[in-house]
Amino acid sequence: MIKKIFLYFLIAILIAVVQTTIFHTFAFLGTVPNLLLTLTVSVGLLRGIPEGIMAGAMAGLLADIAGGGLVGFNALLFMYIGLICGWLSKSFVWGSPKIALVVSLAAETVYLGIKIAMSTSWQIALPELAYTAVVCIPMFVLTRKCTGRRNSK
Amino acid sequence: MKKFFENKVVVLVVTLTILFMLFLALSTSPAARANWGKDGINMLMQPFEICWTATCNYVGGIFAHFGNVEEANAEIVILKDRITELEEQARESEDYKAENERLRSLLDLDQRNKGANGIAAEIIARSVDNWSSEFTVSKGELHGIKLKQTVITSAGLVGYISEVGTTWAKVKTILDEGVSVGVVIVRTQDMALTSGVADWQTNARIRLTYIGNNPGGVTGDAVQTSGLGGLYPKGLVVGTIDEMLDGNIAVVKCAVDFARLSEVLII
Repeated sequence: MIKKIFLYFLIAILIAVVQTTIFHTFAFLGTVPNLLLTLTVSVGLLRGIPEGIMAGAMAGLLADIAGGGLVGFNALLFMYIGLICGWLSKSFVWGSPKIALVVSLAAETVYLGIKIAMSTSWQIALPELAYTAVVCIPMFVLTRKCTGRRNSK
Repeated sequence: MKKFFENKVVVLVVTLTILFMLFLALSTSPAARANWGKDGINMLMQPFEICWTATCNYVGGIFAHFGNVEEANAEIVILKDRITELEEQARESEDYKAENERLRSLLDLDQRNKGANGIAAEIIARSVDNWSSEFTVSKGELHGIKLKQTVITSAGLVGYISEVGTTWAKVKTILDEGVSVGVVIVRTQDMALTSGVADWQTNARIRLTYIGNNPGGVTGDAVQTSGLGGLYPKGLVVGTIDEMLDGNIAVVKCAVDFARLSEVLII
C-alpha cells in the first residue's frame, strides 16, 4: 500500500506539473483544466475504492501544497471523490470514456460548487468546468492505458 | 470493533480524514505566532513547496519559451514598425527644430528692430536664371509690404523689395549685379560701395569698392551698411572682407547664407 501511495504521489506530481506549466501556455479564458481531479476520477473508476482514495488523497494533498493555502482541504475533498468513484466502479460498469466524462463533470461541479461557496467566482468556474470536460476523456484513456482496468461487473 | 479495523478501506478513509482534518485545523489556526502543529506542517511542506516551485519554474520556463516564440515574432514586427515610425518622427523633429531655430532668430531680430515694424516672410520661389539673384516671398501689399523695403535675416542684410504684388513680393539680393549698397568698414570707418558679380554669386561674394584713397581694410574686417543713400538702415551686417584686390577693390564674403535661405524679415 505504501508503494501505491508513493506511486500515486509521483503521478500526481507529474500531472500537476503538466497542469501548471503546459496548460498555462494554452489557458482558456485564463483558466487551466483540473487534471488532478480527472486523475482522481479516472483512477477511482478504473481501479476501485482503495486506489481511488489513495490517488485522490495524494492529488488533493499536492494541490494543497502547490496552492500554498489551507493544507488538507483539497486532500479531503479529492479523497472522497476518489472513494465515490471507486464505489461507483464497484457497483456498475464504468469502463466507458463517456461515463468518465459524466462522472468527471459531476465531480468537477461538486468541487467548483464548494469553491464558489468559499470564494471562486463563476467567471473562473465555468471556463474551468468546460476545459476540464474537454481534457477528461483523453485523461481517462491515458490512465486506462497506464494502469489497466481492475473493476468490471 | 474488530470487524471495523479489519476493513482496510474504512481504516484508510478514517485515518486520512482525521489526518487531513488535523492539517486543516492547524493550518487555519488564527494565532499570530504559529503553534507547534502548524509550524510542523509548514516545515514538513516547505521542502516540497520549494521543489515544487523550482520544478514549475523550470518546466514553465521551457514551455513559455516555445509558447512565446510566435508572440515574440509578432512583437518584433510591431516593434520594427514602431522603430520606422519613430525614425520618421525623429526626422520630422529635426526639421521642426531647424525651422524653430530659424524662426526664433527671426523673432529675435524682429524684437531688435521693433521700431522698424518687421514682417517675417517665407521664400516661395527663386529666380530661374543664373545671372540675377532674386527670389519671391509669401507676403505682399495685403501684409503691408512696400517697394524698396529692406530685407534681412538674423545673419545680416539680404537685399530689398524690388516688386510688390498683392500677396507676394520680389526681393533683389545684394548678390545681384544691379544692386549696390553703401557700406562702412567697421574697424576703419572707411566708406565704400558693394555690388554683385554674376560669377561670384554661387560663393555669396560681392565686390567692395572704396570711396577715397588709401583704404585701410584688411582681410576679416567686418562690413556694415552705412545708411547713406536712404535705402538701407545703418548698421546692418553685410559680411567680412575675404580678400584685398588691387587698388580700391576688395572681395566681401556675405554674412547671409543665401543658398540655405528660407525665411526673411522685411523692415
